[in-house]
Amino acid sequence: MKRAQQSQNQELTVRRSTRLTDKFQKLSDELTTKIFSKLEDDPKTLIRCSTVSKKWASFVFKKTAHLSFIFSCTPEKNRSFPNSKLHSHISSSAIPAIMNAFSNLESIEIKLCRCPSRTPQPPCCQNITKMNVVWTGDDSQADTCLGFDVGLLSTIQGTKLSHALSEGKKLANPPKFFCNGLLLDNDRPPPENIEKGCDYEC
Amino acid sequence: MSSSAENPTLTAEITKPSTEIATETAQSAKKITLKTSDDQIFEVEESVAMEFATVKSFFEDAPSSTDTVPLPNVPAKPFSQVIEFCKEQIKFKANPDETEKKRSNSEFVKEKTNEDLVEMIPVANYLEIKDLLDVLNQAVADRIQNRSVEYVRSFFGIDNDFTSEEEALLREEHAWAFEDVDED
Repeated sequence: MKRAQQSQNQELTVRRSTRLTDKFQKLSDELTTKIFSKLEDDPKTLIRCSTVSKKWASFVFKKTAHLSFIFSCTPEKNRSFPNSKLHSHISSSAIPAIMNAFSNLESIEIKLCRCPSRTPQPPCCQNITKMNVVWTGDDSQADTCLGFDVGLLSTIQGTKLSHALSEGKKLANPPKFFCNGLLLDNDRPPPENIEKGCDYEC
Repeated sequence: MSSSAENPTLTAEITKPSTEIATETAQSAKKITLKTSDDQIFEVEESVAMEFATVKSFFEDAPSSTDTVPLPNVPAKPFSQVIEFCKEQIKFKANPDETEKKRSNSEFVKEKTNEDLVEMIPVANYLEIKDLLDVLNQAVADRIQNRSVEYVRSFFGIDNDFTSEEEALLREEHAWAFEDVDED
């Protein structure tokens, strides 16, 4: 017991921040990736994590099996609605780089944000009738699904488009995908209150 | 009853001494004695100890054992917080109320420092307390959500091993992800 007390005393002299660092380095790789698995619906934070270190980059990009995006209709090219406090919006221009980086995805889920209108008064996505997702593998085992008709979205209630790549199985050799285009047919002009962003939980 | 409160050195180190450890809730309840890696002795009620899958399987192998269970990978400080969590959890076993359970869980993590959370993760993992591990991982994920890369680095105490060129390239490739960062 005396020895334990001495070691406690020694530990007290070590600065807290240094100790915290030590503790984190003891978090095993397995435990770190478990934290990342909680970020599957937040690709934005995940990608930031990938910039933390080389090791983290490989965890994030190679071990992430599922991703969930919240997608807003893009009123202008390369632009998405401002993010809300609750979630990030992903613009279609960001998709190809995401699909290139996450090399072991088994499934993705795309949710349409009903921003900025909670109720269709007027619904910003009223005229979206179809979403096309085109996946193309980079070898002969191309996995392609075309023309995902998600139906009329005028009463958007958490509309989800989910497509498990290769029916949930990992594609071999190399399981890399890119997105040729994710198109939202939207004839409406951008909503006027776009700058306010979206505060709704999609 | 031995507890951390009897050790002045340790008490000084623990910011919130867990007085609950010393509190006897039911005198007749069977107690299990556990020894942490820093040689602290904890006596916890059997119902609480059985929340630790690792300890539970120890007693499945030796049902009548009255020995002290050594927990070589578990320091006292996070352990006392883990016990606090499990005491709350078993209340919901008799009385399942998902909403209340969620509230209780978020209350539990809310008052914990980053350091507390991080110290508890390996303990929850070693003791195989799935619910707690889940709650902790989620709490850490919530705390780094939308934070800057620099914040995440310092949160986890990780050194940047990218060259500035490599990092710039990554940031450029996913430029959208580095916009609208929450203040550190």
